[in-house]
Amino acid sequence: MPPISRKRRAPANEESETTISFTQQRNQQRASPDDEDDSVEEEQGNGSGSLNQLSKGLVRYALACEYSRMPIKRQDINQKVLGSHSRAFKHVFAAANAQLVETFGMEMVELPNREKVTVRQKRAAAASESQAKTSNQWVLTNALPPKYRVPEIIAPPRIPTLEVESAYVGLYTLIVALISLSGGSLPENKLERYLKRMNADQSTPVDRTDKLLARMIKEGYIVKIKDSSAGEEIVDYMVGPRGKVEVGDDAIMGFVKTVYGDGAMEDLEQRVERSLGIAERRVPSQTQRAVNGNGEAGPSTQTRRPGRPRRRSRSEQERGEESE
Amino acid sequence: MAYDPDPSPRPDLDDTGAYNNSHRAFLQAFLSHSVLTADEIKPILAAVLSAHEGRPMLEGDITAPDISQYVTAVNSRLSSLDLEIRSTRSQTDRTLIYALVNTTSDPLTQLATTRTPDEISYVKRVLDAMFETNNTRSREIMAVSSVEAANLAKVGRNRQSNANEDGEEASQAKNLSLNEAEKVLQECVEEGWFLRSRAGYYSLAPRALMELRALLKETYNEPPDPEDAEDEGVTRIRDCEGCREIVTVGQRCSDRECGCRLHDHCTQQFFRNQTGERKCPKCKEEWTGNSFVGEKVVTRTRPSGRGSGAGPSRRTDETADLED
Repeated sequence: MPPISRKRRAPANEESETTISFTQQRNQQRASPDDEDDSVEEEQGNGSGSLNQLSKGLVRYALACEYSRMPIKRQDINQKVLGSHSRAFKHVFAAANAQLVETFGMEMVELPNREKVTVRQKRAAAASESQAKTSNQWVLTNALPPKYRVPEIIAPPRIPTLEVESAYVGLYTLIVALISLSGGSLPENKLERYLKRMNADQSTPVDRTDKLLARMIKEGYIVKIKDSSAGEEIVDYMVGPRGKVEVGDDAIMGFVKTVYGDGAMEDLEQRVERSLGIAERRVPSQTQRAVNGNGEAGPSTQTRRPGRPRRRSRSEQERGEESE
Repeated sequence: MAYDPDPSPRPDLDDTGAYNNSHRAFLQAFLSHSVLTADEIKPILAAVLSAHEGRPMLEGDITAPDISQYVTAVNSRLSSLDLEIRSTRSQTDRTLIYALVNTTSDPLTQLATTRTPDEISYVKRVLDAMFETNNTRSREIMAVSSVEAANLAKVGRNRQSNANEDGEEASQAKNLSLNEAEKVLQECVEEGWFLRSRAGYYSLAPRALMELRALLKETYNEPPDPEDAEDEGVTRIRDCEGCREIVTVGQRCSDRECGCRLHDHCTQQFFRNQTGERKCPKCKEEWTGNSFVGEKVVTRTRPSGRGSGAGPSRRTDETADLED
């Protein structure tokens, strides 16, 4: 809810102060004396407790970002949370992440960099050697053990409605799974064919299909790659940074298992692992052409994934790098 | 969900202490729902405890003390983040409602509203209409009809002319289209900020009252000026004499000068033990029970409401300022 910073009939000479000190007043009313208001602290730059204040700001910022499915960006953190303290980033980030884990059972996980796919992108990447290795963008993921990640506890967001968001979670899980099972990249016409088979090529419970895909691209679940280097334009879909972190391998595994249900063949797990290239991932392989399980991809694939599956398998590998 | 490649528990997720994974899961449920009634919490807490203790718990096993115990434990962690799970009872049917609220409103949490500045400014205009235009000494409607709400989509010239300290902000705000305004209202209803009555009136929902409790009073109530004996201040928002929560729907003393307000259900409790005729707890005037607060002012009062001297035309911006 927006703050209402206005007080119409207050005497004129106090007006200007009223707005500025509005949030501060409110803080002070609640805060204990040693719990100074952060804006005051930032100005004074005093050391004691300021880490706490900054980390609190970052925790609140992270929650706010997650609410609107926006990545937590380092640049925004510096601008909106740290202000003049941007040099303290590492400490503040570590403190905030510890607080997120301890209090919420959630943690910020760095998003992988966008893959350089087309020749042009690769050239550009090679040209600029100074490019940052890490994406400097994070998303909040659930760090609790899987037994707590059931739909009874973490339901999809209610906004706009539970039904629409559930459908959205189901659809992006489906599309991310389709792309991953096809070896990480899916031509546009193939995706269209899959969607058509589910009668979702024109409209979905969430929105028109083109708008739905646009939203998934915007939120980083999928990436649309246009490559016209070979003459005619080829459009492929790949899994986006958020899609990789949020819908990890085990989420896809769970999804496929749900679709197959009791009729699953015995080696389904191995098959999916092979399709996802889990075994080969450490040894980079040339082709990961997948045998994907789309035979059954009828309407039943819309089985709702519980919650917003936040998996951390992938993030485990990255935590090592991050903590350096 | 059986597939879990990494079953080893996180070292930093202490699951043994007084604050353990069950509390974190409970808090996550609140993050994804924002607003929950006590009855909605029970199945969630049952699922959390089932996961935590490894044996099935039923909804019926959860008691009110269980809920408050969890809320208290979580709040002890949240207070340093300026977040809090608050509870209140619905003004109309006494349902116990819990909500995760911000105890401060800063620019960071504004982002959590996922709204553009223009939309936020529109919501502010609606709030102003609720608590100023439609909340006069003689008519405490504290709600906005859908027609009025639509009219507010435009930044009124009135608004700008008497905007003072936030004058800049007001003049920067752009008009919303009728569709945009309607969408904002609808989303506010879905997110639990506004209620829409059958007669098409928008009022504040329990979540908004909980989160904005202090802010509303701060904004719309003006304390008397200590240096000016004649200035009595303006109290636009009053608490119930019974439960001490804000009244936006309820009854008022038939003496217009008296500041006594009661929720409908609070009157029953209040007067239960009184013999003879009901009297206002403050001024001892007879409590007629037909002076209302809320949209009933418009929908229930006979057109010849005594001496209000205000026809329906009162509900426009221009005439509202006569009241001041």
